[in-house]
Amino acid sequence: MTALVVAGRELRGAFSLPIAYVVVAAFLVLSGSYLFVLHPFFVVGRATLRPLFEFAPFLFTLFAPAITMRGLAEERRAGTLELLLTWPVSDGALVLGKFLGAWGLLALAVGLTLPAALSVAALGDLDWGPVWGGYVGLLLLGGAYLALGLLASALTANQIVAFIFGFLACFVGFSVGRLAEVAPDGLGAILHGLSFERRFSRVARGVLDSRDLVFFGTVIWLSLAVTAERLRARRWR
Amino acid sequence: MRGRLKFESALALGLTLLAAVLINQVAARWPVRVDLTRDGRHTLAEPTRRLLAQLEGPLDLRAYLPTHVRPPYSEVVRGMQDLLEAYRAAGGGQVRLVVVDPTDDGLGPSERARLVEEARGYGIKAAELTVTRDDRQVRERVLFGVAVLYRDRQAAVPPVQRPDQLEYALTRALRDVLSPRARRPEIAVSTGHGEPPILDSPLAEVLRASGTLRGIALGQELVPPTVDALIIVGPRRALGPRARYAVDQFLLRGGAVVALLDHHPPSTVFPHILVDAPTGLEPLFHAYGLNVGTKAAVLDRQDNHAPAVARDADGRPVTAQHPAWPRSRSLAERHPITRGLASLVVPFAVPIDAAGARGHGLEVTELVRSGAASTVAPKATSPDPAAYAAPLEGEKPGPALLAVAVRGSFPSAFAGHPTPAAPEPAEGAPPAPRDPPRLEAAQGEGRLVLITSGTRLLAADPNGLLFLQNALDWAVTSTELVTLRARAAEDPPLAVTGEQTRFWLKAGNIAGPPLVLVVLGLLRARRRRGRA
Repeated sequence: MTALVVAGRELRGAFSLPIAYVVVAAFLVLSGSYLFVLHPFFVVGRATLRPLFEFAPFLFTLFAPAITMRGLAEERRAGTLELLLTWPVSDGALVLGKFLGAWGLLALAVGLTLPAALSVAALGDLDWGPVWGGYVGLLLLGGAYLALGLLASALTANQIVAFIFGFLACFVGFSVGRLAEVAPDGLGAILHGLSFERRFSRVARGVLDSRDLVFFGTVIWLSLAVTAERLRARRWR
Repeated sequence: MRGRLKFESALALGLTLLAAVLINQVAARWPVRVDLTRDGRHTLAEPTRRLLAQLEGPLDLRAYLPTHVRPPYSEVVRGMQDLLEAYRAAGGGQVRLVVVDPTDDGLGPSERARLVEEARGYGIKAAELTVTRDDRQVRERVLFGVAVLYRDRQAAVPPVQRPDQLEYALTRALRDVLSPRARRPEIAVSTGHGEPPILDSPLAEVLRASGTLRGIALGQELVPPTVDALIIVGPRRALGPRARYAVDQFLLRGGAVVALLDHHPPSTVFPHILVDAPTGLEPLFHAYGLNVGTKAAVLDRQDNHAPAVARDADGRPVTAQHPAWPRSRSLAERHPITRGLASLVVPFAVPIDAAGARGHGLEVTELVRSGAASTVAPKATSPDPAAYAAPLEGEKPGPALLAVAVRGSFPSAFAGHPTPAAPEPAEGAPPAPRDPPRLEAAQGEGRLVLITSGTRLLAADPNGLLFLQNALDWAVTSTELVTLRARAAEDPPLAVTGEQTRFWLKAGNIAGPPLVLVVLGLLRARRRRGRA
């Protein structure tokens, strides 16, 4: 419950500053431009949102760290983290609340692409299965990115450094599968298993597989756990 | 105290990591999946499950899957691994799967040679692919395919281009080894009337996936009883009465005919002039209630293809939008032949009137119709797109039927007519065998696919070939497997929209949601200021 209170505070806080509007609007403009202009949507002439789901993960590698870079780094820089730690909220609930607030913002951005799906459905016989799969995949992948971004934010007091750390973590997570092609056999199989891209593309084609859902769930859980431990470590100092 | 806290923290993180690994292991061991797609295209299809349920002994799947290949085959390999696992899971213990990686760096030369020999015995060939070796990309011939072994039968699945084509290929091989008659369909290809040399072209390799091919000189011989389907593509010389008789008797017997006909081929003397060329089959189709307007041409000035119409000074092809190469998006969505095809370019097509066929009690499916903005011109005499830029005299607006699939008990086109005489054997040649007894009425359900564009249809765009493959599969196999291939087809097409609609759709989707967000933000800020 306390985590939800923190999440609400985070979400309200985000929308009290222009940055949330700028980030979400930039995401919408870029994803819409890619779907309808950069990708020759009307030339290809297919009723599908696949181009959006291929492009959005790359946008998320920038978008998610941009959301989370303030999360804990800014609190540390402004000295409000210590104040926050005096609240009757556990470290875990605090981290979870911050994560849920950021996830809510990301879900709003993803949700605002629904008019594009409705437009495509109006123009052709759109199969909604892969569309819902794509949205679930974006939320899971975005959640994993946010959790990594929040961890990056907990490691430093500088927002820019937090952004760069977060971006690198997301980028490595997404592209690790590409390394598998050049890695030795045993390592290649492990890297494939860790590939965000592969997991996401399976969900985005319309298949909800417990292996992929559990994978993203554990990435989020592990990242948040390390972040919470990092906060807890501040109490000792 | 601090050391203890550090230890507790490290322990908690270690246990969390261990738990995360264990949970993933459990999820990997007992996976649960939900396929959200409309036709369950990522789940084993019912025909596949039914075939697997027929297994009365172990089925061995020996897969040669190179893991070090570059896209798009790397995706195919991963898709194949998943699919083979799904077969094993659905096989109820009867399916034994062995996966071999021919690109494994650990394989020595002798092991490699043994693998090649073994795979060759199963009918698996090496394909030239780009392989990653020591951070370098090299072209190599590597084994790629799956051997399906059941009792004393075996079938080979060659590599496919896209992962969604795998199930069709694998289930087809499964059906081949399970089939009690153990016989591949026999497909006859019409020759001897100026048709393109299909049997000597790469197209033959593609068509062999559907059955064994043989040539047949219609008119010189009747269609043998072993033949399941007959393909007639773009004859340049009209088929005579004896050839028509051969086709008629074949259909009455319950055979299947796939006809891709050209009615406006270029003149052999003046290639820049098109001629009206009846194929000789028109009287036959007329008897079945299908009337083909041989002189007309279907045009579409809005939605068409841009074929290469000339070459520039450097020999590069010059393309131009061509009204006589209409792109049809109005395809029968539910029929196995066209289901999943987004569009089809049908060059220099002529209209078909199929109303009479229904009167004969035949089941008629309109497969391809030209677009709403298309017209029917009374003639086509030039291959030049400029000749069709302005409306021609006598041109009639409205869509036309360009392809049909007909099935049922065909009436005989020769009822009440004498049997056309067999040609005299050449001097010194043995006498021709006697004709089998003439059929006056249908003995089985015949199938006919007719499209009024042939050689250009196959050259215009890849969907032309897919149309022929699907038509052939519909003709020779159960429709279940064709349906399975249709699941692999591309996404549905978009409706044709005007430039203005497209502009507003783009603008609305790119600028609309961010604008709404910004306006909401401004309203919120104003309210906050008001409160303050």
